[in-house]
Amino acid sequence: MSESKGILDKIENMDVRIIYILVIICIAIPIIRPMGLPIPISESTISAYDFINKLPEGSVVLVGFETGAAGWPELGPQLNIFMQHIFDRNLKPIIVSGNVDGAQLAEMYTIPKMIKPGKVYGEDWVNLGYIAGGESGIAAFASRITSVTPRDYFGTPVEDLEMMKNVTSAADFKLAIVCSWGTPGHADYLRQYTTKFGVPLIVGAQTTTVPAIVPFYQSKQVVGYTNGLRGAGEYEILTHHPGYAVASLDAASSYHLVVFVLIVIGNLAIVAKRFVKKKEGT
Amino acid sequence: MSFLRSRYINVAIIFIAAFLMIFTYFFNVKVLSDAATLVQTTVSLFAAFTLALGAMNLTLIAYRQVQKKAPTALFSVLAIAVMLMMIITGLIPPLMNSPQFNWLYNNVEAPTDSTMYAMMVFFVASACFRAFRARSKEALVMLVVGSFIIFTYAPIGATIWPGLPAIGSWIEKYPMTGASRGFSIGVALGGLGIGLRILLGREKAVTGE
Repeated sequence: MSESKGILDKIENMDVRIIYILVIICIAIPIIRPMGLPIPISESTISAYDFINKLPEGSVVLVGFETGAAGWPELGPQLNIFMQHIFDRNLKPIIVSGNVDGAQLAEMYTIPKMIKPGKVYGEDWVNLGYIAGGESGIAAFASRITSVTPRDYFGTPVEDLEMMKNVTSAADFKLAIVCSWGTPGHADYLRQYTTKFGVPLIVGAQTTTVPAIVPFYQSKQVVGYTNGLRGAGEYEILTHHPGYAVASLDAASSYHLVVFVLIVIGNLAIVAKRFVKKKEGT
Repeated sequence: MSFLRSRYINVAIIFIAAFLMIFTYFFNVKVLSDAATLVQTTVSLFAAFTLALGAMNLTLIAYRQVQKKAPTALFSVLAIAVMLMMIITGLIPPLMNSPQFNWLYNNVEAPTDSTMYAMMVFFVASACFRAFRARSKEALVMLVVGSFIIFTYAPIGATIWPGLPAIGSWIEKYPMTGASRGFSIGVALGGLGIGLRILLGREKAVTGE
């Protein structure tokens, strides 16, 4: 009896290295040999896709790259696929960021991959760079764009950019998209762009922040949202551009499965220990 | 000079700034809107300066560590060296876009940042194994709800049983949204209370007393 108790103790206090090895194996296998699991598409992703699809060509869309390099693996695929859809639809994105390296990430990892031939900087898209000051900076930007970004990311005066000739405040945006890993985030965008200027908002969320976004989606203050890497994968399927996110989802699935199995094993060990204890008592 | 130190000056500045923000949020009066934008731009400018303040603070901390010959002094020196390297390469024209800066960003900062974040995968797995134990009724409820949410977000959930994401979505739509709304409203009311206290000069931390 004490032997089985010892085994159960070992299972309950499993060495963390075993867990780590299991995680590595479960992530590596689907990446090497994809399983091709079906990906059901969420209503919130379809809603975001439909909204962008219905915008008239040439509409100005604000895209907030509110992330740093650390958040990029989860938010980058969402930003990339949003930008690809925007370029496919011939919309005109304005890139901004309240994170010091967000605008730079856009120039390094998004624009070179997603830009379509024939698109001209300053006419078809602009990058206005970093906005300091969190929500206050966003509020100033929304009221008058040149108040906090008199020059773009490359140092060109905003008045000299062809696309910005008729864009002076948030009232000229037809949509705002924000992919954020903290502040500034969806709440700041909602207060300063949606509530004040009536700009519809789409959120590219980290999975952990989804519970905070759902109430705004249900109240129609957010017109759509994508949920982490899965949301990006769903959007890639909708836009017929399967890429990084779709490829990563099998790994995400097997990871979640292993976490669930670990939880079950841990709990079974507890139940079995209680059973053994009871038997020993009688 | 004592007049300048008076709490009334602080309260008056706060009141004027707050009045501008609140008024222009609801009404469009050009003169006041311009003044509000000016205040917001000033905040943005101050925020940009705080980056420099942060860099100075970091340097000071590192200097003290070296002076004390603390065991972590080497790391502090390394942090300052890397910070200076990024600043110097960032200042090479074209500003923040030189090949040297981009190389450092692409090959040092981005991979290390991403690695730090990606390591959470291991910690989360280990934490779930240790924390999700049904030791009480409340823990059991959390365990069951958490499991449904896991399979709602992971595409494999629908493959195992289509009911899993359906139940998870229901939990997300109703109980979770309800709780989240309650939480948001509570935070907003708390914020309103604090705001009023600040406006009335009763928040001692803000009035400098």
